[in-house]
Amino acid sequence: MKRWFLLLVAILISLGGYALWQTAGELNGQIITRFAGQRWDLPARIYARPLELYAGSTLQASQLSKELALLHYTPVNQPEKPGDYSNQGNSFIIHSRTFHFPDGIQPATVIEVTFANGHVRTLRDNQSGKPLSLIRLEPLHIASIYPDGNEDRLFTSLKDTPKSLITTLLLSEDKSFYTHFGVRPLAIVRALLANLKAGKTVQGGSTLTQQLVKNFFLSSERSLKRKIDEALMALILEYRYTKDVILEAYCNEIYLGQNGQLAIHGFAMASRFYFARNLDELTPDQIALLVGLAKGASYYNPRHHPERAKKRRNHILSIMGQAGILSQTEIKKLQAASLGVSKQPPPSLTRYPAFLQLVRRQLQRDYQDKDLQNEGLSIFTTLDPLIQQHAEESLSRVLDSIEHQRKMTPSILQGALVICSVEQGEILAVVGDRDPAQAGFNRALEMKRPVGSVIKPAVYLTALKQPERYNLLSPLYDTPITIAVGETNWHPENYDKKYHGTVTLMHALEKSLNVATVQLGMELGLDAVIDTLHKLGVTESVPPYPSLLLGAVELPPITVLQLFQTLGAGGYKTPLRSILAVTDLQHHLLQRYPLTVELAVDPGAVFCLTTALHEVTRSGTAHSLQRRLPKNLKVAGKTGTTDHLRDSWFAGFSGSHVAVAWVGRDDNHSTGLTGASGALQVWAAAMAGIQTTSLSSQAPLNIDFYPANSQAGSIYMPTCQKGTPLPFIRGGLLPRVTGCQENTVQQAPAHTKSLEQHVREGIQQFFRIFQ
Amino acid sequence: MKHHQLLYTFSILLCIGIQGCSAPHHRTIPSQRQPIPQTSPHPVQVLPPRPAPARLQPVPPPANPVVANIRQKAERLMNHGKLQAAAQTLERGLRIAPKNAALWTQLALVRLRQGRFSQALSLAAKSNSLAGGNSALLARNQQITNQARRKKR
Repeated sequence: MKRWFLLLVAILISLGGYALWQTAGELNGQIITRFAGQRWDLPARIYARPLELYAGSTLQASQLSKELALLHYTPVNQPEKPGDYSNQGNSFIIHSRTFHFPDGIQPATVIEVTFANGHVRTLRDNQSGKPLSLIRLEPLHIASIYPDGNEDRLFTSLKDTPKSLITTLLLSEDKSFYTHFGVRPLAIVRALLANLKAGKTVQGGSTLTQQLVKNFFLSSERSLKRKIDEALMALILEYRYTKDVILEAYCNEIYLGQNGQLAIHGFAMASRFYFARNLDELTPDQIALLVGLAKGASYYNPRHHPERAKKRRNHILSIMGQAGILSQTEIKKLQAASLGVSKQPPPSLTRYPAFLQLVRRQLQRDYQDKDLQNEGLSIFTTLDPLIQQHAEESLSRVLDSIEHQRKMTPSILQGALVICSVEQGEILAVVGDRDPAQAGFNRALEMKRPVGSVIKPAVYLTALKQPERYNLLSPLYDTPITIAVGETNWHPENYDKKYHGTVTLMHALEKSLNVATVQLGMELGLDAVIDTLHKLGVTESVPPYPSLLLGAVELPPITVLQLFQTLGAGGYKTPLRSILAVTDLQHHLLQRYPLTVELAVDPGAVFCLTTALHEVTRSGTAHSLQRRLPKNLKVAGKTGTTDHLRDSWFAGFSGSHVAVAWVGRDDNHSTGLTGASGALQVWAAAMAGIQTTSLSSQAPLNIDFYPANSQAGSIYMPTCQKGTPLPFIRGGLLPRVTGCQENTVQQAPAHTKSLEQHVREGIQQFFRIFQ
Repeated sequence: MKHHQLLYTFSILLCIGIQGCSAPHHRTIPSQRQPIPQTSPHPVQVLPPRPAPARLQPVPPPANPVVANIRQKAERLMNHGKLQAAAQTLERGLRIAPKNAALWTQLALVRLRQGRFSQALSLAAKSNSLAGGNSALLARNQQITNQARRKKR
């Protein structure tokens, strides 16, 4: 009987051993799959443009302060570590952070910047005192593209993790980490006894390896099987991998908090989440807080349970004291200090939803969603957070003020604003809603509305492209006209319901005369105008109806921006870009989106047009810009208003920025606003607050200037020493030349001719046919 | 055919006559995209002897030391065959000084070396439109243009 019993036990043990062996095999497989490949899905991180600093750059001290605040730099008396800065009046000392740019690493540096008159006066290396030519601050992280599991993590290698954090972590969680083999049987027994004695769990016997296994592979259920699996896996892990690999995995895997839908994993991400700082910038008490959270991130949550968190932190600080990492006086001081946790967690969603939509559009052309969610890519964009912030404020402030002045229902108006750099077509700001946090309908990208007179520059450019026929002083006819469109007749009218007779081309654009524009457009041919629109960058199809000449074409603001970018860049189109480069986890360049230019329209013709568009902002429909913009800031632009005052547009450019503003209502009802009384104000507020430059007066090579009598539509002999210089394309048609005595009272040719002259010329023409 | 033309010219004469007497006159354009008559109803503009154009070409801005450094760095990178890095450096420079014709020329040169001839041509032309009276730069752009055209064939 006894023998049978022993045999049974032996069989059971063998079976158990076999089962254990089987389980171990399975677990081993799991470990290899998870550990050998990439260990985590790492979200793609999206960055704004870096702020470039150099002596002479147009930048205010206040703007640098704003940028430093966005980047969570800490103001201190004496900058000691990356992320610190000091500021006294116009002088800053900044301890910049190390950053891997697409073109290489820029190590942390202590720099001294001084300002004078809205410019950076000097830029020096603080240690050597030597002047620095050019340096950039690290770019602002604006968003991440998260994997499905919604985990946020910032992978940090063990060598980049502060030594003091590692030491403290081991002291607190697993003193014998470097000597045990994955489990500590004695500690387990001790914990078991203590727990039995207390009747509940008061002590854990888990090693770091076991904790990692628990986090990494297993569910949180409490069962004997899970405990056995945990121990087995810990043993296998220790057998297969070095202690450093396991420790690094632990530091990146440990769950340390929750940001809305996002789980915060790893010390590096937790450091950003709680302190808005990089790991290497933390003070000892902050390290103690993070290490303390490893025991229970929800229970010790410093934002929800500050008392508990403080007790736990101070406990860790005393462990640090016992180990001699800190002196007793330091411990006392730090234990009294507040938690230092940033009040607001960083937004779990981006603060720049409108711009991000544009980035996603560009990314979707080249990347799979999966790559963006787990490859740990870095995406470098063109967003200028300072301009973006200013643009957002401008739109909401101006709309509030218009509604207030005109006693409109609050928040009835909506708007959009997009800004890019002139020469590079880099999109610097996108505002798609007066409430910029709104991630819904993006009016800057998705909304198509009739553009009104904003289209007129394309009509006039079509004329100026033919210098043998047209110049800025060519006479146009602002006289009644009827156009048959299918069965019906169309009678275009001017905004003031008047006709202005014969006017110069420049004057017609300046005053945005509809009738003169339609006459010109019909003369040019609708196809020619549509061709110009496409050349300038309109990709949408444009139906050839005569009403297109007055802007009965529906386009989104971003397309209008492209159109004006080509004009602003002197006829050279640069496709608008929101992404400049993508790098992989090892900071290798994966893709660059380089600057490309394409000659779209003759630069001479664009220069002439720009001269007229500048006049629009001086004495034309947009003359109110003169009092809204800084003195001497030369800009060019065009207002746009649609039927029944439904849409108010303004599009234009300075020497360095192109901007398009739209104001209207989502229900498409009348706003009572013209381009000048609505969108122009948004545009002006945006332009006035950014560091922009005047239009360049540098003319292309095929331009000659002649002194002009703009009102008479003629030019003077240079010997007259009078008139305003106007550009004309060399070899093209010139206006008539008048003597020095002719004054502005005399009209353009059409008006100066008598009936006899007309008849005489007509007869000459008549006989020419027979020659 | 002649008869047709004759009628047409008379109608134009009539039209001009009316325009001389009464403004504003009413034009009717029969339908969209009518060919524009060669003998335009507009009064013919008188073409006088061309006066000499006024000299209004502005002086190029003084050299920016940052741009000079960037150009040197790009030059070094180009000499080491690091064309992509040179292009990145020049684009960084153009963000600082977008109207600097010399930077555009250098970028045109990088594109030429990279075999991107269409871009080289566009960039050289772009530089021309910003170069003003800088004859050395214009000559350089011409060289780049010639080479790019030759190689593009």
